[in-house]
Amino acid sequence: MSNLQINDSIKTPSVIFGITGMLEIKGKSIPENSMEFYRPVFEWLDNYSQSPAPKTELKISLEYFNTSSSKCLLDIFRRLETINLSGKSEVKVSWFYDADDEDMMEAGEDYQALVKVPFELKKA
Amino acid sequence: MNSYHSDPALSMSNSSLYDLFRKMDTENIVLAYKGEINADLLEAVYSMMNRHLDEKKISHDRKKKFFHILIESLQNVFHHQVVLPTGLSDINVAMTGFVIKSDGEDSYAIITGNYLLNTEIDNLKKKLDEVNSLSPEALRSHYQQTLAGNEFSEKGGAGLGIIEMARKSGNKLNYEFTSMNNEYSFFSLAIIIP
Repeated sequence: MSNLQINDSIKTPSVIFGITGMLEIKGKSIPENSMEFYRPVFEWLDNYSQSPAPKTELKISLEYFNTSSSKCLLDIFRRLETINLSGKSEVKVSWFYDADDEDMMEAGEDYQALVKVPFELKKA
Repeated sequence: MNSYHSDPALSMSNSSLYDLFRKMDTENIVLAYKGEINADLLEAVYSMMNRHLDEKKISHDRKKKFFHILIESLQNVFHHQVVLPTGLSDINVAMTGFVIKSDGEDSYAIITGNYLLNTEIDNLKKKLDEVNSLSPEALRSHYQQTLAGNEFSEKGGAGLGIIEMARKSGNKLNYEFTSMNNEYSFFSLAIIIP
């Protein structure tokens, strides 16, 4: 298995997922068809979950995202939750937001309430 | 070869063009579009509006709020535009459209329009009325519940877009259905961004 790297575009974030367990999503996520964009991300995670690194951290910093992406983000967190529960890897999510960006802080809190994986909110 | 001037359907007098421009000007219409909405168009609209808001020196927070709502409302239409069967002569206009208006200061309104099947009205109306009845706190938990639920389809997010438009604008969503025939209606949605 290899690393996953997707460059950012006007409507989509950059994605750098390493087999070392360092995962990063950064930018804007406003594509019309989010499923199409996130499908390779899901596939990579499904593969990775077979034999993950001892520690996995997803760093996510989004300027904003549309509601069509919001479900895909939840699906990513749910997959990480499963990996964490499997005991194969110690997983955490770090949600970065601009100190004055209440919307992104609230969005982070919403996910924090929905998924059972260590989920930290951090001011960027 | 005939020049286009000979076809009355293609001619537009200087004065009627001026009237159209003036009407757009007095009503503070920033952008008006009628036709099919596709991904390239949306990208162009985002970039035009970005420039417009910068020129008007709209604050960062307002700009963000505007974009949140713009993206949700236009993508909503994008996902729900229907292709009307040809030969439906009483509805031979473009499928969808939108208007972005300002109040001349820093408030905006986004109005979208699209056709939908009459059979879709009840479900949509129920979602809109529910969202309009909720307080900001209740909207937030409604958002969380909808996000966690399994009602999602390839087409849309089970009404998440509607919830977000109401949440971000802090306003009720104004909507109207106009019946076209026994199969289709025209749906318009107006969101005021204070």
